[in-house]
Amino acid sequence: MSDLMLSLVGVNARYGAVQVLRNVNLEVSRGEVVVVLGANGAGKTTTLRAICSMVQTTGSIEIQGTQVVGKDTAEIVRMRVAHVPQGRGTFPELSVLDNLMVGAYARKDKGIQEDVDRWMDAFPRLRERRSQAAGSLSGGEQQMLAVARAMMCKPELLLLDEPSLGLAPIIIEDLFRRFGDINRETGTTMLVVEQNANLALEIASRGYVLEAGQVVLQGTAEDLRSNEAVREAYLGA
Amino acid sequence: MIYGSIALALVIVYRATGMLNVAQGEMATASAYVALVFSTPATPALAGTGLVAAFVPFSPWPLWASVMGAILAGALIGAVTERFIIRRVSGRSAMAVISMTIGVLLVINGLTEYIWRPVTRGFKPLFPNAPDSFVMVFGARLRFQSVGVMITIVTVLVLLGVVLKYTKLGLAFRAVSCNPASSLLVGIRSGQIMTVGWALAGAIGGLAACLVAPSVLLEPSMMVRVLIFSLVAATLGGLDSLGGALVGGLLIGISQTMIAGYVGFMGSELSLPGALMVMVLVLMFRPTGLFGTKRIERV
Repeated sequence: MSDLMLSLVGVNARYGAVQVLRNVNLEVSRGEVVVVLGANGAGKTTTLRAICSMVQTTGSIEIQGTQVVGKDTAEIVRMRVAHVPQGRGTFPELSVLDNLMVGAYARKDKGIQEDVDRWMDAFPRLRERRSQAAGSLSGGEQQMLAVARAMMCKPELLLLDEPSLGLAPIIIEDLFRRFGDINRETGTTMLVVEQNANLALEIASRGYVLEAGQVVLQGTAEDLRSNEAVREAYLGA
Repeated sequence: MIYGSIALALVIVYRATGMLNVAQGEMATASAYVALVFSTPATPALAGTGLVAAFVPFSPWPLWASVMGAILAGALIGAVTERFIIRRVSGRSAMAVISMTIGVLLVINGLTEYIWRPVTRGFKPLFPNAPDSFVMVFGARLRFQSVGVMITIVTVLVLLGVVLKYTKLGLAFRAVSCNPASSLLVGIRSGQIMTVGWALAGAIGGLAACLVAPSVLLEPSMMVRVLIFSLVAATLGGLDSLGGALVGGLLIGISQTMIAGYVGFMGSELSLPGALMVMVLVLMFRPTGLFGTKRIERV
């Protein structure tokens, strides 16, 4: 497949002596939304961290055909990869506006102000609170800010780490609808790590299930939704 | 003012890196020696002057150029210290970093003492300092030297404030000190930012040392006391506030002079414990200082 955005082949990752990922293979095509499901400690977050070179990693990780294992995080970000970490990763002491500006740090083009307006249009709450410190926003607003900040680097690949964590159900639904919108409107490829399998599978076309650092299952969203084991473990059905 | 400027340097490192650099004063002293060496004709009494006379064109330099040299030297000392020493412990506990800067303090202090001997040396003031170089303002004599020092430091403060607030570099500084992990994720090379932060603080320290040297006489340990008072000033003003550093510096400096002058029994010997008491009180009742920002957190 020539239109491969991301491909992991035989990826192992470790924190010191603790090996977290074992021989993970994973592919995401351009424009696709792919979800990674799994219990706590299965290695979902580590998968995203490995892609951004934030853990010790061996194996092959290619982003648009370029090998990134061994590159530093700043270089990978400059390949238009945005990572929204667990817990939002906003800058609590900076204003909302500064958070967006810092999101565009790696950019050198002229359109930054335009994009600030664009994402403030998309999330009007951010415009209302533009000069407030990000730390004073509610959880849902912070997650919006985190996503808008990530979009400020005009990512080709957006990595989302448990965006639903700690949010009320109604806010989560709105959030996922927006992910779907963003994907359709901008064509941004997304890799979403989630525990909330229901919603994640709604916007995703394919998914992977991680268990103890290994991919134990993969398939289209429909396949996973109808899979007995997945239903039992992640869909609460 | 002097406390204010060293406090300023402390605050810059703190803002850019979240670390407290105890060696700031010694770095500044070493930079002042560089200025002295560059501005003195070759003499065996001052190590390095021979070397400078032999290899540096146009030496001895005029004082202002030597001070520029001191600023550059300060920046270099700061950058090298961060890159090769502090970075090895960054990410560990704050205690490890502070211990490391104490180590750096002792090393630099030892080196300056070894190279330039523990004797006091005169340092020419940057501004006219004859007995009659003062202006009368509301019946008070303002010496050109004090006014010059004040103007210089306020200028530096304003420049820094502008850089921090309105430039991309400033944004990166604020981002790194606020959330280093996320800074990495938006593509900021936080290592480079830290090196620049230390260099900047070193440069300001170098300038400050050249300003203070004429009044306290240059000697390897001249900054030890200054550093303690500056630390108190920075705590009082708020560790992350540039303006607070300056105000804290002024408050500490003025009250030190006033108390020594008017409260007979305290004298200048007791000013150090007095200042430390202030620090203890600030930390107990208002840990963010006068102008510092509270850490905002909400879950």
